[in-house]
Amino acid sequence: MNFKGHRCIGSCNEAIVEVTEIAGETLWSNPKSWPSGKVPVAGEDVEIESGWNMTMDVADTPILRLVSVNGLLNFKRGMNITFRAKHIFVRAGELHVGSKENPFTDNCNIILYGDKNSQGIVMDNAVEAGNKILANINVVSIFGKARN
Amino acid sequence: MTRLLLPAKKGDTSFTVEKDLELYPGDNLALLATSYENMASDNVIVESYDATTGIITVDAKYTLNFYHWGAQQSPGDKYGGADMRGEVIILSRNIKILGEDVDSWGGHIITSDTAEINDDGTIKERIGSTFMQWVEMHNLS
Repeated sequence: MNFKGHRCIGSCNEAIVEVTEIAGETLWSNPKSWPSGKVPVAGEDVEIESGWNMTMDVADTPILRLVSVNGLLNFKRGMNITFRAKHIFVRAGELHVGSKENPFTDNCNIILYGDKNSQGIVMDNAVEAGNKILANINVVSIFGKARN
Repeated sequence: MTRLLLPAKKGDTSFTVEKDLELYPGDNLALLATSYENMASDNVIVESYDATTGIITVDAKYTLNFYHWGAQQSPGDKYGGADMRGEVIILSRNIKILGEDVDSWGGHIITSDTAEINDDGTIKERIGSTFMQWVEMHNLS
């Protein structure tokens, strides 16, 4: 079966080469962690590439456009984090905030931006996921502090 | 969840719950209805909580709109085991997922599976799993 004749609505996803080995933890706040040599700025498309083990350690991010997660993205413990984006697409990677055994105890906000007419993201070929979205086709794991 | 240990009246800005709870200023609480009127619930923001007396004082903007019954002991033996005292629940969580408040258009979370068709015609199937606990969401579906 080959659907080469499809027409993309919005952007089509590039094929990704999945890498299993993790090349040590890298920090979001470190410009050297990024191929562009700088920390992502407002409106930017960001990819956590396959094989990366990225730690989110920015207290308040600018509003990113699309964050594609194809590697590991972990939220750093011991600090309050506000993560702002129009779209977060967990495709071949994993997004972790705390864990079941060891919940995240600081304050964390994940804020999605956009209006009704904002451009949506495409999950695959012509399958549109929508806008202002956290779309997950792999693993999202978020565990906060128990409040009883 | 905790219970009212004394009745709370309409217009009150403080009420009494159990002692030694983990409650913080800014916490969002709900007081559930204790009357026949099922919508008679209240929503307040904690200004202070005294762990030794169990007294919660709320932000003056959030005076209670309804009466809520409370008592030191559960009256369960009179009501077939049901504790009729007003329930007070914590709505705040340290992790929040929010949709920006604009145009009445909320954010979305979707978990899905998909089959990606590569240029060489091979298919990569992906299946999403979401694990969440103790997470607060606003303007989001």
